[in-house]
Amino acid sequence: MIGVTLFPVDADEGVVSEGPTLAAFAAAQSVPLTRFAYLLCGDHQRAEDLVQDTFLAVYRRFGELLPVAAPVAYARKTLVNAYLASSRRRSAAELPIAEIPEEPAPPDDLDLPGLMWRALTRLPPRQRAVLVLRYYLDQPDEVIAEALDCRRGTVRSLASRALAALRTDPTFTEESR
Amino acid sequence: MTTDLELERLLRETFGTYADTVTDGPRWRGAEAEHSTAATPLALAETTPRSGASEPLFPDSPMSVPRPPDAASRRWRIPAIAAASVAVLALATAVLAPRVAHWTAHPAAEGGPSMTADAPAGAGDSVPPDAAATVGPDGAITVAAGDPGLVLDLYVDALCPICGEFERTNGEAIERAIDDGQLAVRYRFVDFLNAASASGDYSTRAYAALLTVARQDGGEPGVFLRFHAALFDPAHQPVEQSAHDLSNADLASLAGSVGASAAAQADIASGAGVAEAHTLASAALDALTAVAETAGRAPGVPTVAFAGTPVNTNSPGWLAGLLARPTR
Repeated sequence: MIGVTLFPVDADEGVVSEGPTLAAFAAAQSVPLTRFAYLLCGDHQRAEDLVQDTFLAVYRRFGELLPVAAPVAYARKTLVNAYLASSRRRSAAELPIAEIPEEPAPPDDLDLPGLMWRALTRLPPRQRAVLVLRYYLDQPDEVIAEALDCRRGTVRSLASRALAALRTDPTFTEESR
Repeated sequence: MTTDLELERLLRETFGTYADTVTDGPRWRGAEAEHSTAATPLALAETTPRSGASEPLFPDSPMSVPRPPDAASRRWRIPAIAAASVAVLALATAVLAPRVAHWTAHPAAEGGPSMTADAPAGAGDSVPPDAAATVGPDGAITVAAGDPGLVLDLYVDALCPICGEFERTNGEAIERAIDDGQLAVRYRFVDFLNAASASGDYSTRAYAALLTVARQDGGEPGVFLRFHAALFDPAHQPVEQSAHDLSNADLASLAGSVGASAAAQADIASGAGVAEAHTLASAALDALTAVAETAGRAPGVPTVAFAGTPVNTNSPGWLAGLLARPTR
């Protein structure tokens, strides 16, 4: 039911509606979506690639004329999925490292967001995605579940695992003491 | 940093701080497809001011000045349509005689089944393993996360428009049930609509491409299902008895666009698996015929089979009902 409510696309397909064009949509959503993508992946170039892929997916799904029901949710969902898929591809090529090879911040210059940002890189992609959707976009769990194609309970468990991991992240706890 | 509240506050601060480092984003410049007639000139709003944690659906900011092309942004091309297939069309039209009729009844157009409402108790908060696609000796491509209690066979032909409709109506719910670890789908492809395709063997070649992706990238969650969905998307699925379909190179690039590996793309482009795919598709047609016979009717696609008998997928709650039944 959630999916039907959020993406009533089949009903609108082919109808020349009062909706925006993809051009206007992309212009308005480019920066917000790139911010969202950057918070997910932590890499500016990769974020832009993800957004570009998302626009293409929206084009393939809707064409140049979008339905009235704004496909922001669709774009976000597509973007999250593209991020998760590319993370899986990357994980095959990258070796996880136990220690981050950067200098820890000096104690008198404590940069909590910086430490948090680094701690976030050690989270599994799905957990990180839940945090971004919840604490950056302020999405309710049912919308997050829709974006991640899982149940609400899964969102809750992903979030609590993520928070637990952050709370006990070695670098993070030691530095912030 | 002990309470969740402090943690959440820091997360919001961190996200806000790092989001602000993004002041620009890529533009949409039209599909850039060879056959695209209207490449819309694009304008990108200058750096949209961040207006709090959640972005409005449609900011009122009007589109502003066009910007110069950005060389760094990636280009994706809609696969070019095979042009050399016109000659085949005449032949195909002449001999066209589909051995199997489509089901004429359309699946419910709207208001698909709600999967979430019927999640079986006991599934709990556990996160199922990521869904993977595997190929069986009979050519069935099974997509499942873990070991679900419900296994359905789905018979389709890549050229069948009603299969595309079925995908649009049920694809999301099916995928969600798969991801939730409640459902395994055995995709079985038949190719009896080959004769209605421009190239004369599109159904077989599309199946060969799906087999290749499942075998080589089946462990990469979502790749197979995305490729499957893309093939049935009206943007890609060839129209029966039209002058165009997708070449092997087109299939390869479409697979690449949804995350298939370079190796899989190369194999698809080579067309190496087509003969094998035809053999397996013929076996699938025999299996489909047996399924249809249990209901006393002629085989057709799409057909969903549960325990060897067809499921009436025209009933809106068909999947939810199957999922909610007692298992094992």
